[in-house]
Amino acid sequence: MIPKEPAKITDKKFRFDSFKNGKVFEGNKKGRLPAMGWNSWNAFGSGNTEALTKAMADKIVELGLDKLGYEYLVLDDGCYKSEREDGKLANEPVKFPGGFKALSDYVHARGLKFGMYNDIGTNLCAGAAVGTCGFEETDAQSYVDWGVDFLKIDNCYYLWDNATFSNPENARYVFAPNIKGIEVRSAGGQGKFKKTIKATDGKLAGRGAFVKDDYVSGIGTFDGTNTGTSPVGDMSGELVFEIDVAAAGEYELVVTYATGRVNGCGEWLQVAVGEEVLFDDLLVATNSPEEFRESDVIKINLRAGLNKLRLMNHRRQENTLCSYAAMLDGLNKAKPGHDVLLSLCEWGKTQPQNWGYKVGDSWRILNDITFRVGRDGDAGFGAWTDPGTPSVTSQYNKAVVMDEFAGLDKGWNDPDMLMVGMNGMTTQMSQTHFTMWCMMNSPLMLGLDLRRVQKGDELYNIIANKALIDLNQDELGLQAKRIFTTANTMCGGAAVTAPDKDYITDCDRVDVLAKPLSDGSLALSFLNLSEEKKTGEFAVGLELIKKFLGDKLPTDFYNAKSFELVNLWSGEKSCVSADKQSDVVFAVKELEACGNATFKVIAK
Amino acid sequence: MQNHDDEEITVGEFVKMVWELRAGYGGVVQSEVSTASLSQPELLRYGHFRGWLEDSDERHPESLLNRQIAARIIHQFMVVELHVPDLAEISAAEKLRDLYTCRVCANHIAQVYARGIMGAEEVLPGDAAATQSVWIFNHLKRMSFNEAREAMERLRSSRPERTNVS
Repeated sequence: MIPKEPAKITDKKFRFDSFKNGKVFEGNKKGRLPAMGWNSWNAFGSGNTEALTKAMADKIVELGLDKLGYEYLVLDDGCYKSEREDGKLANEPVKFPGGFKALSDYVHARGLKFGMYNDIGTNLCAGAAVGTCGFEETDAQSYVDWGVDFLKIDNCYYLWDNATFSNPENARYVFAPNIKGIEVRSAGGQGKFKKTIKATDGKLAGRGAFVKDDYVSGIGTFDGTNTGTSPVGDMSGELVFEIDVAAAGEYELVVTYATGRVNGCGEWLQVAVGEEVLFDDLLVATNSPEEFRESDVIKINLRAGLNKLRLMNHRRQENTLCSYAAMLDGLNKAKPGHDVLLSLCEWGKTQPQNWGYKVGDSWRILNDITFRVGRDGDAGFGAWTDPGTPSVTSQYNKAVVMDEFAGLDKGWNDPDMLMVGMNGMTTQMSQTHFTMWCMMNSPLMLGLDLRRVQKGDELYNIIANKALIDLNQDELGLQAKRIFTTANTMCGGAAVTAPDKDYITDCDRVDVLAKPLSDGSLALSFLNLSEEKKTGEFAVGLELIKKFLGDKLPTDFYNAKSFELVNLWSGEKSCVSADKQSDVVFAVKELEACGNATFKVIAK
Repeated sequence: MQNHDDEEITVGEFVKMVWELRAGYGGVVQSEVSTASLSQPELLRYGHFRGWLEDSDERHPESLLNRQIAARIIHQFMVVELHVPDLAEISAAEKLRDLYTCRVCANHIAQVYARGIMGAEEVLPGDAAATQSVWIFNHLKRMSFNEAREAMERLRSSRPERTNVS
């Protein structure tokens, strides 16, 4: 049954204030390294078929990619019948005539794992009316019956946000109304306390809320689907008032507000005192976002002294978390102790870096890396740069500053599937793309028609570079940190002061990433994002490395004066040494356009 | 029965219109079936098996056609039946504010827009702070018979120079 309103939240574990507590939900196993495998989307789009999928499974084994860690074979969108059959998911009859259980068996028989796709909305992005919304338990049972090991869950047609194909007016759920002021008074007119406060005299907390004329707007979580906003720091804004009362007890709150159904102004208000949420619902709609009215009385409990009264709307994040949690619950019921990996694909819209670890193993950080996917006989197109999300660097620029959100105890930032092998991607681009994803502990999901790959050819040598894969799968599970960049300004124009945190979108630059490894060594990658060759000296020293990585590297590393460097693309070895540690410098003098130099640095 | 130009068109009616264009595509097309008339169920089944229609098209030909479905059918038909390769240069379509809101439709829309087969609409954005109008494709807007015919005419006139297709 498709729900008519967002879930009532009765458990604090779904609340915004719990996002930082580090607690994961039942059934979400931690300690897993980034997933590796093949996904049908970039290769074949909605045109994937049973025959193609079987060919890919065979090819993974023939190429020995399974031995390198590529284990999941995932059917993306386009594989289902366009509507439910007796309330259940069913296979697309032309493309997948043999059904999913038989295909799953075929994949498993080759020692691989079987993955599928669905959506937290009512429909899938390609249109089939078989989204999990309201059918989580039924669908989870189907997935368990089919032997599914991996679920990628998308966000189209989502009922509680203005997501792709959703009603744009769903912004009503996502933002609080415009607020002009509040009145707090003793309950029932019994006491003497009464205080009226203008919204402009409140405090804007977090990010995104703003004063317009005499009211506050933009209270909610801003949309992270597109490029241009940093994923680090606060992702939402609140309007906060400090209320000082003499006596503890029940008080009445009246809010002067105006509603809309557009970005920045909605109809859903949350009221909290401290962390106690006391109101969480739609308000009566007004005629326009600038036609204000008073709310009904909202009962609040205040303690004697200073109280922090918060007007907010964190439902964008909370609703999406609840939807994914419903799917996880369904799996828990269908198969207690299941091992299904959940790949969250809400495109970074609700800032899943804040909450995704609770329910998922990875979370997409942006909209898609390409919208020009391939088909049988056409490799599709991948871009190196783009102002929007569809390019290697668009995804990298955001993911590279998100290391704080990743880890074995959390999960992984997902800058989308690999574009190695697509038209438009040169050798240098593909090598650097692969290097970036390995250094950033991103899931490695191949997105090409593997029939085009032969052992030892150029594509094979990229996707099967074991030395690079070993970085991605290193058991320490640390995403690389950017410790140096030649860029001077970050997105928005401010000066770069913290290369590991600052969101930089100008790609005419060289970055240096550093990734501690479990054997006490360091992976160091010099990345040229520019489409022109770079010359000069790009160098980092031990002190800089220590400043950013601290105790994530052993003391012996910092005390060493001699190091062996192994180039992870050429295999060449070299040495760096100095009389004292402060003189140790790791440097490269030139980088090809879109190229990289990546080393394993071992203290001697 | 004569259809009024401003009446909304169904998926099944549009598929028939697209299929009929095939015969008038200057003999470029050589397909696995003859141009002899097919019944609607046969045509829908054929298109689904060939890969230029989806399961939903075959199952619900009575559904009203919207712009994103039209773009998909036209583009897939061009690739599969007319053997027209995708344009590599689609930057013209990047002016569409809603192009990338749909990963599934983006290339279909870009291809038909960049070829001039389907147009765009200028609208005010639904953003409280915005003041300037933008161009959108408007994915879910329904299509009329007239709009469908216009798209077919533009598709016909977009025909590349005669090529030999074996």
